Amino acid sequence: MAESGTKLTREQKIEMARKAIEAGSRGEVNPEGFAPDAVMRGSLVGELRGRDAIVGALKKTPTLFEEFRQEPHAILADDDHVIALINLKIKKQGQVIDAQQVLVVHTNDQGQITEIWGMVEPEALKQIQGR
Amino acid sequence: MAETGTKLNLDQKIQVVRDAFDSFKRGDMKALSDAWSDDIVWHGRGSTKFGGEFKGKEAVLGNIVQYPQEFQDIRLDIHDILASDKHVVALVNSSSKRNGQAYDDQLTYVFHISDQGKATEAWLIGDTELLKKVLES
Repeated sequence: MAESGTKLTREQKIEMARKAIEAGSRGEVNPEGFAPDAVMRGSLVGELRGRDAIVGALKKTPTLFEEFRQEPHAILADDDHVIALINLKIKKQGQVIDAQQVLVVHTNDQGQITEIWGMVEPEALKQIQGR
Repeated sequence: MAETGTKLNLDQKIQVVRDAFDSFKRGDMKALSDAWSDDIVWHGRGSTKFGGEFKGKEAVLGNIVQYPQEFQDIRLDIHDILASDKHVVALVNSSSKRNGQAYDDQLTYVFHISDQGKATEAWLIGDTELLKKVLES
């Protein structure tokens, strides 16, 4: 972890994202990973504004399913974005749903998430949401 | 462009993808397909005619040329392109019209780019339910 005010390297951002995704699958979310005014737009959670709302939703999401597993296929980063290509496995009412998920994250120089956009492929999302 | 057999660096891979988008924007399908390997595989999502797996240049081109046939005023604004050793990912804000109706989406393109600077596999991720609605309207 870089010190406060230090610009993170690409490798540091990727490693932070990998750990955050792995922890997120277990419903473990570090509030300090988000800027206080962070914004999230996601297929599974809708639009959320503020650290507390986002952290609450991310902690709750895995509890809605019998199984919720996010396995990063690839994580890329540059100065502006971190992108995670994720294989998502959800078990709901005995049915296993495999989906591909894309997370696009903006971070500040301290590595805190300021904006996060998550998309699950729509066909799988319909199954997940029981539509 | 690196010579045959030369491993491209990440910036060169990004440029391959950026050039391919520029080719599409100016309607230069020859230049676009020149950026692909002969055995390219294109993975489209969803249940429309743009979904499914398309193998080989001819099949992929046959799929892609249908976009300008179905939509008007197509704009593909590249928000960012990132690369790693295995992937190049383009974040694209797309806007177009179909029969006067606006169709806007945020698209994610994922490419495998060979060391020779050719796209060998591609995935397009977008709101396929929205696409389906627009095509059915």
